Amino acid sequence: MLTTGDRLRVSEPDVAARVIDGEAIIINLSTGVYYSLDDVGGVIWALLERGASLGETAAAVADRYEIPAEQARADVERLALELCQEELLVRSDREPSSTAPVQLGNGGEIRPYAPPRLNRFDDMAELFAQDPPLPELPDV
Amino acid sequence: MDGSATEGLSERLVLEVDHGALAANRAAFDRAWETRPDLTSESLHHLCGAVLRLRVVGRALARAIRPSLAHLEIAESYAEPALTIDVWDHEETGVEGRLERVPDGLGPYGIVIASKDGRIVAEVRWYVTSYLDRAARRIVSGVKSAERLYLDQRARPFHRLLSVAFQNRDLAIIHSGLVSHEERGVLFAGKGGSGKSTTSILCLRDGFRFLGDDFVGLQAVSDGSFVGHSLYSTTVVDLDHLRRFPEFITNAIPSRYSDEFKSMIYLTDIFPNRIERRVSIGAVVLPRVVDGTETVVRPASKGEAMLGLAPSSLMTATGARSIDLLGDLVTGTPCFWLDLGGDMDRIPDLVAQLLTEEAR
Repeated sequence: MLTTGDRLRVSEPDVAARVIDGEAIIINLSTGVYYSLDDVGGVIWALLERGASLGETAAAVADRYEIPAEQARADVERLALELCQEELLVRSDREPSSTAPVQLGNGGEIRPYAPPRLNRFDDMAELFAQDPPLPELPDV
Repeated sequence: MDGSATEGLSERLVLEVDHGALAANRAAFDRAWETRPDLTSESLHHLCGAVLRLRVVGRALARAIRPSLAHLEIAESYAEPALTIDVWDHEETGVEGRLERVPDGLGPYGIVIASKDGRIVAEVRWYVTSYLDRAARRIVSGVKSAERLYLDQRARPFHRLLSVAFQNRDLAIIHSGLVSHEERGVLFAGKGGSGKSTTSILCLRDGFRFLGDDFVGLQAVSDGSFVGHSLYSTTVVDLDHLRRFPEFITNAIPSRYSDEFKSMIYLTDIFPNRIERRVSIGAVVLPRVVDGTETVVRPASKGEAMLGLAPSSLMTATGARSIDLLGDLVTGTPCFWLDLGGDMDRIPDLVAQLLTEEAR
């Protein structure tokens, strides 16, 4: 169960992610399942990844898209729970990585709000199981 | 190998490399090199901007693995090799080394495992065990017999360990095809079956220069551009490919294994003057098979390009660091879908056209 004060972090080293033009592309290297989050979902991922709490993220989403706070909170919590269930994010007790505003790829253009949706692709999962990817190695 | 879990590395690696195994195989290679000078060969290669030294003990083994890298060969170098690959044939040399057992449940491609400190990375396959000592910049590989190599081991020798050895913040080996036209490169990205190989070979046949159809090096340059590097001058094709390219049939070398339904072609045999070593990247293209007769080019979003490129490339490259390299590539490079309809002979013209338009 997640609360508004919870902060999350990327589940390292098995998860690699990048936000490009507001779209989050996330790959679970241990399962071969990969995901995308666009628009609202990409904004939420970018905020959570930087260490914003669920409450802070919901407030930012409500402000950005001019939607009721309750709706933003429910959608953020639902997505955050789904991301944790997919083992992409885990609870964190770290401080936020940066206090600077998140730079989003759409230049501040406000698109119509739609509930965030985590797109899941498992077409490579079997291949990953047969040929597991290489490990993240420390520098030598 | 012992069975202890690693710490600091992903939990999926539950096997650990034994430093003693590396030392034993290193000693075995040295013994083979010294006692069988009649079977030794040494070559230098320019690989991803660095010098690779390849030392082979075993004539059949040299015939099996050197040709795919021959296009990168250089006569001499004043630079110290960035990596040395030492490989020997147990049966031909009479020098035995340690061959690790492939864990149950894994197929012929085996597994890659690491030592707890991350210094040693091993690839364990049937009849072949290879160790990369990352600190010493050396791969030592024992092959039971050249006759037992799978096609991919001949067509793309050591590609998994090379991915580890050459990976850094600005360089990764990725899962892509790469061709060039008028000194501008086109990366064909996508998972297996998307049409990368077919598209790459169609372009080669039509006069493009070829750098790879499966694994290539990708390097970031300080000015924000990207360079693609050739690794291998081979292609591994299935029956569908041979039907599409009947002129290649006489050059197709089948696998010895009944469960490997493919053939290998040394492209230098057919197109000796069209194999390129490196090129500046001009576009990322995502081939996909579509219903319909017409082959067309459409713009792709950066997110679509990343979804096409990253998952399969991160199987080759090492994880989180490489995703940033790929992200920078798609952010700074024009990206397109190539919808493959029935008229696939149009592909080279369409690819040349998009490069020309982007260059303006």
